Amino acid sequence: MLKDITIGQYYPGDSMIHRLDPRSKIIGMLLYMVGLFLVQSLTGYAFVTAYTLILLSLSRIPVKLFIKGVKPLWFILLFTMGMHFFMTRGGAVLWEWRFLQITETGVQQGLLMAARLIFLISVTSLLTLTTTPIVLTDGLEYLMKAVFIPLAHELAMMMTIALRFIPTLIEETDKIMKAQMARGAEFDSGNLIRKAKSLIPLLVPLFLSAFRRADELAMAMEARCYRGGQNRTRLRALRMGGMDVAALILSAAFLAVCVYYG
Amino acid sequence: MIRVKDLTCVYQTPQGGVKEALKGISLELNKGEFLAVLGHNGSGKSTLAKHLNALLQPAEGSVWVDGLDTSDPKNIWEIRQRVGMVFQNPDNQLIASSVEEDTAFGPENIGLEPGLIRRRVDEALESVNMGEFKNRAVHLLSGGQKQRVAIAGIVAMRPQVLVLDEATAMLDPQGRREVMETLLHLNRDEGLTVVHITHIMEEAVFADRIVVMEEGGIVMEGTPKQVFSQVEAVKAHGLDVPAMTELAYELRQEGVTLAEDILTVEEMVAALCP
Amino acid sequence: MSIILEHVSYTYQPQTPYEVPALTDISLEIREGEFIGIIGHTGSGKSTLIQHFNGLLKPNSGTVEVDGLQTTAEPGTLKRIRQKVGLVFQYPEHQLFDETVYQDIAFGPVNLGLDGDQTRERVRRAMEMVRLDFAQYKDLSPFVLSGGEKRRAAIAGVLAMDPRYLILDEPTAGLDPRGRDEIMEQIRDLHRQGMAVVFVTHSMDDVARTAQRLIVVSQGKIVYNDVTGQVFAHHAELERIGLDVPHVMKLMLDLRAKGLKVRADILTVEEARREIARVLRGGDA
Repeated sequence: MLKDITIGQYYPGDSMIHRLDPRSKIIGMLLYMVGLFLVQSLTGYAFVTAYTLILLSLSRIPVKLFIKGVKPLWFILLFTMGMHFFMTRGGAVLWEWRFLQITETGVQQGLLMAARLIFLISVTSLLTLTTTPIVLTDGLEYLMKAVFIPLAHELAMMMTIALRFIPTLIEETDKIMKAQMARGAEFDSGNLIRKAKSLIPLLVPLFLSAFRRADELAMAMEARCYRGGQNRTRLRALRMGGMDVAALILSAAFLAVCVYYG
Repeated sequence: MIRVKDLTCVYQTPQGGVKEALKGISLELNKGEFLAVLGHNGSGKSTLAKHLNALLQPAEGSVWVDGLDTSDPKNIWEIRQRVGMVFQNPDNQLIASSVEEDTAFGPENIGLEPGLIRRRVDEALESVNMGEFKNRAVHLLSGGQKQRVAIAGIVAMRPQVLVLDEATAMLDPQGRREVMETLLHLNRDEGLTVVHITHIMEEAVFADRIVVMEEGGIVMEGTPKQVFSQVEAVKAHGLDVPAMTELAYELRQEGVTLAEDILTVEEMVAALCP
Repeated sequence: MSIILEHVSYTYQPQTPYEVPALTDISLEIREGEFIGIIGHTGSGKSTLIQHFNGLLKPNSGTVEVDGLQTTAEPGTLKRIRQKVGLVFQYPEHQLFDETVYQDIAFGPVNLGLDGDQTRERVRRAMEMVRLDFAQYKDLSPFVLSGGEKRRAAIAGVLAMDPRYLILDEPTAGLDPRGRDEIMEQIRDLHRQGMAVVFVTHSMDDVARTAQRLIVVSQGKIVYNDVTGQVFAHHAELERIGLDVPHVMKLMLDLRAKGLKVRADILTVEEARREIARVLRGGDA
């Protein structure tokens, strides 16, 4: 299950989107998200759908990967859709049972909300799939500094390290789980309280190991002359080019159209 | 290159007691030398290592790197750039997700220009023979490969001394061979001074000089032949001698005339079949 | 009574693009009271193999049977299998979690549903087997122990299951010579007391000194499965798949090549001492 999450994964490539500066990608995504949530009308949705599909295809990333990104969230999708089906009233009644009622507007709203979520996840995946974690955090750090968010460097460094250690910790969880199962532990039986209690033999070693790793990592970073953000340069200097200007103008235009169609 | 004088270090045990990890150690490290530090767990060898690049400051006594005193806070970053350190667990010292980004971490910290960082990173990865892996994800590498990347991350800072704190302890034989070959290459061909802390005797055979530690003090010192030929003394300190040295010792007990300083299979064959 | 693997194959993430075959058509038997070493490269499949012995992994095809019980049977059987086959992972001290050494070691027996007295007896015996003094250590936190003691406590946690077969994945990894000798001595002891022991290692010298039978795994297949001395007779083949032979054996082979009439099937320093002395004195057999 954990292995199925694609958010945060990088897909190597050399597409137009891959080559954009991370800052323009992040700003572009933020504008996209605002636009996506402003759009209400069907025309607006049609426009957003077209724009999204063009963006995704420009990245030349297999569609499979985007589908994989949405998959783990199917429950949230169904839940959102269900909520709208049953809660939103309006238009013709399609189905009725006691106090439950599905209406035309409800179905429409449910489908549109689901589409909105799928678009949101796909475009977020697009950002992480086309940007290496380090470059992405560099971009975030720069933008956070630009809007005076305190501890921008520290937050970015935390993200870098978190991304680096996620695979290691997943592997470790698997190993500890198996080791406790070899001693007769069961992680999937009993009621909720027993289940929670059965997690202690997994969580304690996992936390201890995370602390040990953190400790050793801090030592290794110090030994490699790390002293916070001061005087730090980067292997890849961020540089905005003509394509970035174009991307930003396009993103702004997208937002304008969304506002116009409302 | 590095001078350690009367170095003492005390620490608190988990039970609340106080223990001396180092008891007045003096040691001189020469430029271009390959020094192996041997000792069983808890002998104080890792504590000594952490004093060499100012990760720990002397409680008593002193450590100088190239004439820089490690207890002076002004010198710390200069010292850490000159004395690089590789640690035991390959997973817990790589910071970035891809090989070249991790190698760049040190040079970035000392504020080099991007162009220069790029050159240093490429050269460092070549020198540990990991050039073709530079875009790989680090968590998919083998243990030996990870340690070579860790070494590259240090080499890219152009240090004069490379300290390895049990860097081979968690590796398989293949990984150990890779790391040892890398170390010998850096030492012999690129003139890097190496301090290799280990409890694997076969690795110490390659050193110019061996220091054996026990209970926070230096108990033996000399060339590998001088140290290992004292089979009983080495064993008394909880260590092994190379299999051939032990066999030579045993055969001498049987009355066979053999030199005391045999370390390798080749030397043994030459001694028995002249 | 034995562990029997028949035509076992296992693939990680089957039917995906990331599919990795880990084991191909493995058949072997581990009988009661045996002492077996498993060697192979990192990634050769040996860790995957031992996780089949107690049903942590289940074969994609083929069968694993422990004393007549199939590992693919229902959960209840699986628990019985895990009691019979104790598995000690690499760096087992990283799995310690409870407040005291006693409680940690008691984790297995409690999971098996034993009552207080039986559990206490199991813990006491397990600690005795790894030479941790019961009175002195039982109430300590496992996290204040030294590295070697932690590992022994963790192994005791598996021994408290009272297994008939003990499987260890690189039990000496990361230990210094003293710690390594201690653990190997205790493992030999357990075997002397009648337990079947299977250990995975990279150390040819440990194998040469202890294992009666040696299984060599390479690229998910068993290459050799024979008496230890017999396996090392294939030294050229072993070197070809990138495994070492013990230093002593290398020496004996080189000496023979130089014309000294020593036996080549010698693995330990002690045997070599006798053999070389015999030949140098001009003895015959």
